[in-house]
Amino acid sequence: MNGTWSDPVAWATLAPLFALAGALANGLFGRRWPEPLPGIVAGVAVAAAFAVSAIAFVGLIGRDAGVALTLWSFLPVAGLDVSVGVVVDALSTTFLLVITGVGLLIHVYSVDYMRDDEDNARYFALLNLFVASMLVLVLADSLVLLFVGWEGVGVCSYLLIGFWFRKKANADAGRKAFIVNRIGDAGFVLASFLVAATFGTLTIAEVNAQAGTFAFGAGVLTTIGLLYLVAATGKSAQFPLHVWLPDAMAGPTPVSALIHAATMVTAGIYLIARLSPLYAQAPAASAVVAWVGVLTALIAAIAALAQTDIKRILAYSTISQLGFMFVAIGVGAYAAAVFHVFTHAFFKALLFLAAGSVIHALHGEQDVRRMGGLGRRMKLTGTTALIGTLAISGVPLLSGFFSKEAILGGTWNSTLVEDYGSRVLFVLLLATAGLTAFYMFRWYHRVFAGPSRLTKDAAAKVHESSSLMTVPLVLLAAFAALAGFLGLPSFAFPNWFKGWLAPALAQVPTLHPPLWVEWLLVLASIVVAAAGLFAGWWIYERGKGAIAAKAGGGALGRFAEGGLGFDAAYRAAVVGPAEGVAGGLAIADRDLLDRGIAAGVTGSSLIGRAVAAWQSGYVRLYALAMFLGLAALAVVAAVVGGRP
Amino acid sequence: MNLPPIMGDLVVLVPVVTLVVFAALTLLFGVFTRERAALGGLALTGVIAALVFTVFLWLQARAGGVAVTALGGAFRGDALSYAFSFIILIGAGLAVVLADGHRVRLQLDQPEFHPLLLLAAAGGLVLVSAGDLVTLLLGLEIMSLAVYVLAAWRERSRVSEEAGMKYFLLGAFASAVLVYGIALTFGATGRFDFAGIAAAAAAPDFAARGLLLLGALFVLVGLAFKVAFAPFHQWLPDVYTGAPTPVTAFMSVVVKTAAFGALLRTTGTLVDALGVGPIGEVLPAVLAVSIGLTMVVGNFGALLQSGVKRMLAYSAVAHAGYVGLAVLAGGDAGVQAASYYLFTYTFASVAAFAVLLSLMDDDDRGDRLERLAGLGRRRPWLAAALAVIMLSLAGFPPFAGFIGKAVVFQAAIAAGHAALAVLGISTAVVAVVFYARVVMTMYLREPDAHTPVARPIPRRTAVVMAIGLAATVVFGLFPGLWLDWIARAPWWSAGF
Amino acid sequence: MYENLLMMFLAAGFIAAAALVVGALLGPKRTTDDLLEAYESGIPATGTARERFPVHFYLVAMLFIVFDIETAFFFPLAVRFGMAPQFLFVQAILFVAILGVAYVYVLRKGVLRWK
Repeated sequence: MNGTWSDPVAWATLAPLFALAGALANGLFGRRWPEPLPGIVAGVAVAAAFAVSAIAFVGLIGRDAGVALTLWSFLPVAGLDVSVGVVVDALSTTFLLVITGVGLLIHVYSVDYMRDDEDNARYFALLNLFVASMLVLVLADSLVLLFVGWEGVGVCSYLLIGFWFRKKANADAGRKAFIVNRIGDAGFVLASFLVAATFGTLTIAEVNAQAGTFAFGAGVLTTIGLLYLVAATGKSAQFPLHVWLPDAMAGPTPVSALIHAATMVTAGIYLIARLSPLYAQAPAASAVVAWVGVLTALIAAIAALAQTDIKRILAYSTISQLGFMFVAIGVGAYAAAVFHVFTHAFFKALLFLAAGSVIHALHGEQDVRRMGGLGRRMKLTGTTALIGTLAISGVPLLSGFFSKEAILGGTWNSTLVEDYGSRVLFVLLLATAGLTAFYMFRWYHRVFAGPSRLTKDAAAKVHESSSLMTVPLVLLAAFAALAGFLGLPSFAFPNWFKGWLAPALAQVPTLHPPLWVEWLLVLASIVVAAAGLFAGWWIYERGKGAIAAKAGGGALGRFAEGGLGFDAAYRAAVVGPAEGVAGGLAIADRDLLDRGIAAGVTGSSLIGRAVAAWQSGYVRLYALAMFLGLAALAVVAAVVGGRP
Repeated sequence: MNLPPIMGDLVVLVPVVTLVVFAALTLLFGVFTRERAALGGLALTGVIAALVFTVFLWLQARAGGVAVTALGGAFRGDALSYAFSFIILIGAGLAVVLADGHRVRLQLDQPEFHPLLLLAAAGGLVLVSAGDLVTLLLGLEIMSLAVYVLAAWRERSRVSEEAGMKYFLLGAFASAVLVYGIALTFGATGRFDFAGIAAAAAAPDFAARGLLLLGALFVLVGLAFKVAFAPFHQWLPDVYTGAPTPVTAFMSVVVKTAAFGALLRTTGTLVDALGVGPIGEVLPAVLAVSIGLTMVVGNFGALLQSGVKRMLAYSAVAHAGYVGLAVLAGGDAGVQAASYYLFTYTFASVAAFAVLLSLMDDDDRGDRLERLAGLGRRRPWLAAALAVIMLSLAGFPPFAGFIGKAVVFQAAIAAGHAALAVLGISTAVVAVVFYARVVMTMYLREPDAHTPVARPIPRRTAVVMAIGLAATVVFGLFPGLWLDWIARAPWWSAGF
Repeated sequence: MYENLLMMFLAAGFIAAAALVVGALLGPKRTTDDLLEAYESGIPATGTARERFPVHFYLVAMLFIVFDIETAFFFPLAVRFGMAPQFLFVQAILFVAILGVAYVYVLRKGVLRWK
């Protein structure tokens, strides 16, 4: 499996270097470059990374093993020999392609989106650095190097979320993301020390190989698994560390797209998928992963119902979809999780970029209550957003349907967490899928369909975005629609994706129910998606229609009435209780978790203050402190030393 | 010349002697000429010469494979002393160059300044090479007396005078405790030299274990003061803030490294000498409590500071706590981890102070965080350098600070101090906040009308920064360069 | 082992205390204003003695102490000179050289120049 440079697959090693070079060039010289040049340099860097990733992909087709390449010896500490090395296998190549492919489209889109920003060299430098860190993360052959990328992603996200730092809220959001992530990082570090102590190595392949020799369900594996789960919940915004992600919308919209679709939040999924042989041996830890995932998915979906910010709705939907992936990973359906990462990257990037296109057209407006009917003025954006909406909702034959169905099926058939309520997981997940369809329909309807609620001034200025922004939308829409066919339901069709990933992931035995049960599962997910969409249609279209007929009158009056009537219908029909729950959750979110973090910070500064108060500046008090310390030691020595 | 055998291999004294000779030369040169500009160069020559001799001796000792002693075992040339001398001299050299770049502005070109720096470094060398407690005390005093004066260097600055005075008074107190501890240790074992103490305590009829414990605790306190373990750390923030910034940089690397070298040797010997059992558990327990407290106090103290210099001062306390983990771990792994941590910290710390120097006012005041606002756009190179240094100090990979923390935690866990390592990891999370604040201010904050423009950097300061930065990145990516090198020689076992 | 030391301390303390006590008991007790003068038959004292002196006095005093005490180093050297005559001779020369550097420094700084 050891590769050499003559093997084209190994060239993927260069991918992070290309991105890093782009970052350095932009960071150090970009300020002096004329307008589109920073974006072009950054784009070319990512394109180069994509090219080597694509070469690796082509080279790997038909091969079982990946290519490992050791670059140099890194950390020769007592008994531990950690090298800097990369692994290019099916798993890392899949992520490479997603990161660089979607990343490239986002770069292209950014060239236009950030055209007027005076700081766009800094923007592109950070964007490239972000991509480079993520590439290091997925290529790493050891947990140490993986942590390098892991931290790099954290730092870049922090700087990008706070990119428009003139608004204090934005800088605060950046800081929040950073600090919450650090809590996860502490889990990562602790887990890694435990791994080093248990296995005597930090090389992922060796850890995975050794994990197989442990007893199934061994306590130490469970502990390691849970600690890495802490790390993953931080990075992938899972309950209860998900609070940073909705605030992270403060960054420029393409950054949100990058964070949500291609990088950062998928790092947690990647980490656990990478360690899948370890998790496959630790059913208790896996069950916790699955339950954290399902709780997150449900909570975030309910919270998404009550949002009014075009990007916040999408943010909660990301958290929810990540919950789906966690469930998949927890139940042992690793390929399904990666497949959902793959499809989600397309439709979520698409949705965010469409949202960005809308925000761009409305000059910064983000409140969906002041949108509506935009699909008529922005045909391309509207159409592609509709494809994205249907894909994420799980409408048959679009990509989201196949990946979600794989997760639901995997949950139902799981043997790994069979004793930990896999059927309950399935039911909750199915309900969440219905909610997803509902809130995504609401999102689409409020923004693109229905009557326009824009002011006349704003409405006059609405325009379709330039082709630099729409071409990525179209490409992403194509993928969002078609990518699912790579992973058809495996019980009845050839599933290329699963076969491709098989050598890189642990294989967990699954239940094999009769074929009609499998079909029933598929039917269930179709029905649920349809129900969600129908409920959305019923409340929005019908509610609006009825009110509109009653109110009549001028366009503006109808708009106001329609809005009110809509809200009334919303409350009366479904969302009343749901909103109560959502409101409650929002309170829990804001008050409990935020306040918890605030309390943590306050507590920290209290300790700090105590330290400072102790630091009076009086030399006599310092001497007294030293004397007291000394006296205490003398007493200890007298007490202990008196005994033989 | 016929030497009595007790004199030993005098060649190990050459680096120290070189420093002292250059101190004398610099002093005489300074009082006889008005050519102040050459003083820094002369001092640097001395440091480099001492460095060359040290490396030469080190290589020779490695080839020979045995420790060399002089003056009847009072002065040792072993893996510990060479490695730490090497770090001390690197730090001293960087600090000399740093001071030289700002000598006129900060009035560092008086004839006494550089000789005192050299003497302090010489004291540090004696400290880490001491084979007995008396020599150790001697080295400590040579170093400390010079640094007391340096800390009070800024003329007409009450803060600086206060810093020097405070340091002196408390330092004298600590030295007294150390002397007391040495006396008690001698009372218990009848020996001053480490080997003798170990041998005496190992004797089957050794009865004065309680007395030895008291002596060991007092010796520990005397040294804990110098490395700034809580609760003996309180002088440090005040002194670091008050001293001229190049001196602060010097203290944060040379004084700290030297004191840790001595601490490693002393605790290593005394912990072994006290053996197992209830008495033997006290010293590690006291050390563990103190180190835990140090990490908490240092990191939380730094959290509240609005001045960058003072923040770095508190963070120096915190870093002392992390190195303390390695001291507690002891053994070869502990010594090696500590040496890596201090080696890389030397570069990062000097570079951080170098950047800070170019941002402060002419009178070496004004270190408020707001001054860094907008630095990312105004001075991208400077800001990038400071950002890398801050991330490294915060323990972010792939920089050296991360590896430093990793090896230190690893050593602590391997030695069975997992709980303390967990505390270290948790406090490191806190540390991220205040280091990140610096980075954020540089990149995510608009300068206002009051934000001063950073002055152009003297070329010499730029060199210091470049070296510090390069080392932080290179030793972060290739930690093996140092760890492999020092791991290849027998360490602790070679000491005795 | 330490009893002798203790005895010596006790003896020293006893002698000092005894001198004071005996003097107080046996001495004549006549006090006049003249006898209470700090310097009997000297210049009449004006003001308090606890006022500030020019720092120069301290410098000279410090220098005296430094050089005086450092020469005390020669005594042990002289006692054990036979142990390694040549080596100790070189050492003494080095020591004097270091003192010489200090002396030259003091001289050049003008510390001994009285205003």
